[in-house]
Amino acid sequence: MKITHDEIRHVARLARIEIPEDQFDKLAQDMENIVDMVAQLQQVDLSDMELNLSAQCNIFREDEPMPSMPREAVLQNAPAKEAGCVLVPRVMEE
Amino acid sequence: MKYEAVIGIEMHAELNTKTKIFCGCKTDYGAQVNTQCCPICIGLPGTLPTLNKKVVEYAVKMGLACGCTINRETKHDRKNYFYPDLPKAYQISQYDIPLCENGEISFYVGEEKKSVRILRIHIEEDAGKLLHDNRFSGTLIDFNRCGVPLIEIVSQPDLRSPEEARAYLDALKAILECLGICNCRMQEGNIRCDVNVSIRPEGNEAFGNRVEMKNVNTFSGAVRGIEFEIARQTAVLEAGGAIEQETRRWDDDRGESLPMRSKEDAQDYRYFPEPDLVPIRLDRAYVEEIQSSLPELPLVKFERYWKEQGLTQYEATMLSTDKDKASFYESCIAVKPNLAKQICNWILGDIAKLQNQKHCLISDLSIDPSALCELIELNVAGTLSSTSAKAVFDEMVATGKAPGTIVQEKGLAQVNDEEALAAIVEKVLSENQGPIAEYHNGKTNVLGFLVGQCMRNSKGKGNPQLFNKLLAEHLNQ
Amino acid sequence: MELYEKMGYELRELMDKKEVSAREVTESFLARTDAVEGKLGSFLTLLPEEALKTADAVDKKAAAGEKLSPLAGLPIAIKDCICTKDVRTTCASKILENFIPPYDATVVLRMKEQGMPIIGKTNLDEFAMGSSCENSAYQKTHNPYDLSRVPGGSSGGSAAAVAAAQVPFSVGSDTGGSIRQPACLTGIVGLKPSYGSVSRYGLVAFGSSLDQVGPFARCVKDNAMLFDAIAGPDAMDATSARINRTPIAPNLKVGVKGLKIGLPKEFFGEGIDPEVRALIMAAAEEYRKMGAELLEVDLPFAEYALPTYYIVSSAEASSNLARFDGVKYGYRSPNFEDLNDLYFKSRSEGFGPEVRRRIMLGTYVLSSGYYDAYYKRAQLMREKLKQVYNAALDRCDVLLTPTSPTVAFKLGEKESDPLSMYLSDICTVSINMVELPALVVPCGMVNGLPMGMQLIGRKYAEETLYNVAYTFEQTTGLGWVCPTL
Repeated sequence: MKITHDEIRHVARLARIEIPEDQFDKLAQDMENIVDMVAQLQQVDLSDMELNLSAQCNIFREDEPMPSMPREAVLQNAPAKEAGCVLVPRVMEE
Repeated sequence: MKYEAVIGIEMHAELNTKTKIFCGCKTDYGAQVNTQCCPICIGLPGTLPTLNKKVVEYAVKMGLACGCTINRETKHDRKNYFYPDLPKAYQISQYDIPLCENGEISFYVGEEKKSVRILRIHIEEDAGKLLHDNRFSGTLIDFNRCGVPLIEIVSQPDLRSPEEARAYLDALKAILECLGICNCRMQEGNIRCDVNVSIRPEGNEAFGNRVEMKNVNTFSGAVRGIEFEIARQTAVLEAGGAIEQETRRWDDDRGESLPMRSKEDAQDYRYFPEPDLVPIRLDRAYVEEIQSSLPELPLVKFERYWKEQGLTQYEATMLSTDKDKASFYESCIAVKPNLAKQICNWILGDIAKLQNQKHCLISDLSIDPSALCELIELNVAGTLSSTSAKAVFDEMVATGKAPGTIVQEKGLAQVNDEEALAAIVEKVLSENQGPIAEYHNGKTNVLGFLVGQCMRNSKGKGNPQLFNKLLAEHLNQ
Repeated sequence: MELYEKMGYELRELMDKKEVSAREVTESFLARTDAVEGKLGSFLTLLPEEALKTADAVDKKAAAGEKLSPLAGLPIAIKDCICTKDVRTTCASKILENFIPPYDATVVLRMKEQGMPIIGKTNLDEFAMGSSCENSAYQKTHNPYDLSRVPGGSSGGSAAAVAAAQVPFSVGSDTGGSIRQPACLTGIVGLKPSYGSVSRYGLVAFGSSLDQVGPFARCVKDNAMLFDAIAGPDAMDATSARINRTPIAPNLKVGVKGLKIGLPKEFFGEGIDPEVRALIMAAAEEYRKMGAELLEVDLPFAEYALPTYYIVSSAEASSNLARFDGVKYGYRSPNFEDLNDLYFKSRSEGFGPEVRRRIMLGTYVLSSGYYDAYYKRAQLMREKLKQVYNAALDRCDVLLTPTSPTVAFKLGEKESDPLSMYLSDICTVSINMVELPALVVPCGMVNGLPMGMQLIGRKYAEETLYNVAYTFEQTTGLGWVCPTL
C-alpha cells in the first residue's frame, strides 16, 4: 500500500516528530513494508469475532488520601523551572 | 428573516472527592503550586492509574438524578493530544461507552416547564493549570489540578435561547449541589462549559453548522457568549455569508468569541481503550442502592414549595436550588408549616444579608429553626414590631438566646397602648410645625416621616400602624 | 570454582551455613563484572557501593540471627526501563539521559524487601524496541559466547549479565519476546509470565497490554525463586492478577509422565533454521522418553500474530511515549522557537530511528480513518488468537516450540532492515498477544552457540512450566555453561 508524503506529514504532525524531507522516501518505504505485512489481516474473515473486555474488573481504590511528593521531587527532572513550577515557552492564549 | 438558536452544552464538573481520580493525592483548592502531586498524576514514566471508587459512585448518582441509563459494563479510553497541562500527553476519559447515557432533566424557564435530553455523562481526569506571569520568560505549569476527577455532562441540542441555557445550567448546578458531589464554586473553576451554538431560519428542521465555544467559565458568561454568537451568526447569514463549523474561544473580558487557531488543523485524538485500567461492571443491586439513596431533587422541591406551600416561583427557585437554604427552610416549616411565606422572607431577606456580611452558609450561623419560628410568631401576633424583630434576630444570632427571653430582657415588646402612644404623637407634632404645614398644603407623604419620628421616640417599640392612625386623626382634625 | 560460577540456590545454602557472607558473594560478582564488562557492555549504570551496603545489611541481619529471605544477599541486575528510586533510568534513550525517578517500581521494592544487592542497570534496545540490543543510544551489548554476535533483545543486557555470571539474577521486560529471545540466544532461563502475574508498576510502558516483567537466571530453580519473589497482586497495578500464589521454587518436581506436550506445526515451518528445528525436536523426543505424550497441534491464524502484534504494540507505544515531550523531564532540545518547536525538536532529537518509526506507525494506525482497518481489526484477531491457543491448551498441558528461528546473529547483520529484525520475533510475539506464560530453557548448542526451547502454558500456570523445564534440566543435564571471556 502506498503511503503518501502528505500522510507522513500529517502523522508526523500528530506525533510531534520532525521528519527531514530527505528521509521521507525511506520512512515511507519502511512504513509501507510494515503496513503491507499488516494488510494481510484485511484478508481474514473476523465477522464472527467480538471484542471482549478483560474478565478482571472493578479494581478500585478507596477515596483515602496518600502523601504527595515534596515539590522538589516533582520538579527534580524538569529541564526548566521557575517559581516552583515547570517552565515552558510562552503558551499563547490560543 | 427570523432565526432560531439551537444550543447544546457540555458541562465539566469537578467532583469533590477527597482524592484524585487515579491516585491518592488530595484535591484541595488553593494549595501551594505543585504540592499535591505524585509520580502518577504528573505522569512519570512507569506509573499506572488506579480508579477512585467514589468517582464511579458520584457519577452514577448524577446519572440517575438525570434519568440516565447506567451502562452495566464500561471502560476508559485514552484521548491523545499534546498540551503542557497534560503530563501524559493523553487524558484518560471515556469514549464509546460512557458510564451514563440517554437521560433527561426538566426545569422551569419562567412559567414554562422545559425538558432537555442528556446525551451522556462520563468520567475523566482534569488537566493542570498554566500560569501566565510576565515576570518570567514563559508559561508556568502547576500540576496540582492534574487528575482531579471530572464528570462531563453532554446535553442534546435542545436549548433554544440564552434564557433556556441559563435555566438549564442553574438546574444542573442545583442537582450537583443537592447530591453533594461538586462544590460548584465557579470562581474556583469547579464548573466549566463548552457551548455549541447554531442558528436556523425559524420553522426549519435542519440544523445549521455549529460553532463550539470553549472557555465558558461562568453562567452569565454563557448567556453573554450565546447572545454574542447568535448575533454574530445572524449578521453573517444576513450579509449573505455562511457559518463555518469551527471552534471558538469565549473571551469574557472582551465580550466576544474568537476563532481558535490551534484547533484549526483537524483534531485527531486517536482514542483507544486504556490498557492500564480494567473494565467497570456494575450490577443491578449497586445501581438500585444508589438510586434509593438519592435525596429529593431540586425540581421536586421547587414544585412542592411553589404549588403546595404557596411561595412565588422566584422564592421557590431561590430555596430549591440552594441546598443550604432548602435544608434550613425545611427544618423551619417542619416546626411551623403555616409560616412558609414568612420563613422564606426571613431566609431570602435578613438571613441572606447576614450571610453576605459573614460569607457563610446558614448552617454556619447555627440558627435554631424553632427560635426563628417563635420570632416570626411574635412579629405576626403584633407583640414585636418588624424593626424590633430584626434587633431580636441579631441578638439571637449573637447570643443564642431565645427570642422571648431577649424581648423580656430588653423590653422590646411592641407597645399597643393608644394612650401611651398618643403622648408620643403629641410630642412629635409639637416639635415638627414645618412638616405639619406642608401636610396641610397637600404634601400628605410627610405622614411617613412623622410616623418615623414617632417610632424613633418610642425606641422602635410603638406599633407603627397605630402611630399612623393617631397622627392622621390629629392632622385631619 | 569461583563463587560467581555457583547457582543462586547453592550460594543461598552456603550463606545459610555461614560458609560465605553476602559481602563475599557480592564481591565475587562485582569482580567478575569488573573483569568482563569491558568486553560485554551489559550495564548502563553500575552500583557497586550500594550493592555492598545492601550485602552488609544482610550479613548484619544474619549475624543477629534473623531469618533471611530466600534471595537475601544474592545480587541482581535490573533492565534500565524499570524505575529505580534515585538511580538514573534511561530506557537506553537519549531522551531520558538524565532521568532520575523519585520512586521504585513494585518489582524493585520486592527485590529490596528480599535484601537483594542491586549491582546495576542493564542495557536494552531503546524503550525495549528491538531484538538485538543494537538500538541502544549508549552502547551495544555483546553475546558472551561470541563477542561478534548480539545477545538478543531487547533485554540483551540483563541476559548477557546473567549468562556471563556478572550477576546470578536479573529482570527484564517482555512485550514481544524481549526476555525469551535473549535468554534463548545466551543459553539461560527466562520467563515471560502470564499477563498480570507480575506488577508492571514502574516498568516504563511500551505496549501496556503486552508488557510483562520477568526473571532471568542460569537454572530453572533460581529462575523460579526470583519469580516467587516478584510475582503476585499489586494494588498499584489494576491489571495485576488478584490471585495468591504459593511459592514454586521449594516445590519443584521431576516427572512428566502422562503430560501432554503439544507441538504446533506452525512453529516448525519455513523460516526456522533446520538445525534449530532439529534441536527442538530432539528435546521433544527427550520428553517422550521421559513418559510425556507428544501431540501435533494446529494453531490456525498463527501467521497473523506478527502483523497483529505490530499494530497493537506500536499503537500503544505511540501513546505511551507521547509523554516524552521535553516539558517535564528528560531531554529538551536547546534550540526551539516556541512550544510546538520544542515538542518537535526534543522528540526528534531525543528518540532514535526505530522508536520514531514505531511512533509513526502507531500514530498512523490509530489515526482517524484507519482505526477500524488496523487497530480494531487487530483487537479482533487478538481475540481469535486467544481462542486458538486456548483450544490447543485444552488438548495439551504445555506447548513446545522454538524461541528464535536462528542462533544469535552478527552485530550489524539486521540493523538496516527493520522487517527482517521483526521476523526474528516470529516465535514469541503471539504469546504476548494471548497473555499466556512462556518459559525458555537451554536445550543444547548449535554451532557452538546456545539455543533454548520455549514452553508455553495455560494462563497463570507458571508452576507447570517450571516443573516441565526442571524435569528436562535435571534429566538431560543440559543447561548453562560458564562462558570463557
